[in-house]
Amino acid sequence: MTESALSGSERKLAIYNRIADVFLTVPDEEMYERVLDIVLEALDSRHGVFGYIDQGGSLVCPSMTREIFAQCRMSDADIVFPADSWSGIWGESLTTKRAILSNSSGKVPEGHIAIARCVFVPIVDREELIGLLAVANRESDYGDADRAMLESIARRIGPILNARLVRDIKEQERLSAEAALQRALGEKDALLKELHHRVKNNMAVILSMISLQSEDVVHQETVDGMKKIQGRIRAMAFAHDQLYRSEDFRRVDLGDYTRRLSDSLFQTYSDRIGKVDLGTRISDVAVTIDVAIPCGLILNELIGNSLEHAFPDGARGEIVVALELREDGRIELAVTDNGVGLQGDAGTDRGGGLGLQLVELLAKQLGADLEMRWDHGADVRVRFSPEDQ
Amino acid sequence: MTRPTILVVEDEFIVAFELKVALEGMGFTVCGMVSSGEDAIDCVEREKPDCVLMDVSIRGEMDGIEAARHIRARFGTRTAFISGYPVEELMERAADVRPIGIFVKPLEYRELEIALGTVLLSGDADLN
Repeated sequence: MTESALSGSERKLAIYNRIADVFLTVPDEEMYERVLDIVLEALDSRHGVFGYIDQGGSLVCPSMTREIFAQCRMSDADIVFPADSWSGIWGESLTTKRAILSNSSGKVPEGHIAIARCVFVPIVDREELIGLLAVANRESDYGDADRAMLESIARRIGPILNARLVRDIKEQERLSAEAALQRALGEKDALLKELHHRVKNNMAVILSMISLQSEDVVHQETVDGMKKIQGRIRAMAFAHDQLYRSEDFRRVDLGDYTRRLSDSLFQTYSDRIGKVDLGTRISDVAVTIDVAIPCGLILNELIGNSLEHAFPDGARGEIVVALELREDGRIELAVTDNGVGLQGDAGTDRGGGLGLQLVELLAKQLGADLEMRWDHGADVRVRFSPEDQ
Repeated sequence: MTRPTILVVEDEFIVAFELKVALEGMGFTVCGMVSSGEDAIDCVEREKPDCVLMDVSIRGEMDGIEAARHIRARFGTRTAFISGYPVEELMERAADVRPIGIFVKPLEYRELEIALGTVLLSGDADLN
């Protein structure tokens, strides 16, 4: 091998390496231009084109944007050339997948930069046309060596350009799949919200029907029973309302729910009780609706029980509602009061009755430990792990 | 003194009927029950109620807040809202309507009675 041939092949290797480096490190928007710069330098040419064939079969030439567009005065200057617009030497090169060299001025459209000399080489990978590489307007004529050089660069570029195009298509598909998924999620959220709203409205209708029905009832005991049922439904409706307002339709803010339920119960009993204060010690806990509803129903019974029985004859006192997330991860709900406890007539109701039966059942449903004491007023505690549900 | 009159705007008819019974139990007269903003405006013009009790999400083109805005601008009649939506959100949107109150469903009648009674029985429902 002669020394000039050796330096020639070293030069080629350096060019390939530079191009490969650009392919690996430069983002799409600059890559075509940077590769073309290297090719122009290697072939000592002023103008050139490096483009790819897109999915629709059009030739796209991102590399033309800088050098040629600055001088090009064509009114419809574009970087996308649909297959049916291919013409002239470059069109022939693309359709025949052959390199074409010309050292005579070709005919160009009005406003297009003049082409004195040029070499067009199609970029082909596995028989498939995937791009175009061209140089033009060198000071001296192009020769077979130049064409061979450009062809060899195009052969090197073929597989890596193809890999890049395939990757871009996959990326596009991934992005559009992601957008579709986002849309579907948004629709699901809207539907869920609508559903919770519907449940809440249905419960409001149920409450109205019970209320209307109780208008016709003369027995006070029956009226009271219906009121109790309404209280329980209301406690459930509040939970759905809480869910409907929450950002995450799977979690209920148990603290907020507890506060609202306690306030509401005090409101309901306000004309029957004397000076009873409500104390709350509530920490932030979020739970699923499966946990929230039993908790709400338990609170409803316990607070209602205290309001109804702990402070007879307008006695003063306090009911404390506490919700605590303990260090062991368990939740403790507690309702305590400083009322009469199990003394007097309250005792009969507090020992038995549907209310406390419900509390026991719901505590079981929660997998909770239930502690009830009435030594000095009431002290009822429910402890459970929210994960058991 | 005559019983204050209230127009009920609510698109769940059973809930509307229960409201009517409850309001009458509180000593008010319900002069109409309608389910859209358009009907509400017509009814206020015809019946001249002392106030309107309006659900925020109702039938028709306008929601309860828009209907209340029209009613207040044309007749000076004030509105109490009932809603299944968060109150905080509504307070901002409904601020310019100067509502008598915003009551969240399921309703606490005691609360409603006190608010309506304070405004209607003291006779300042028309004060803007």
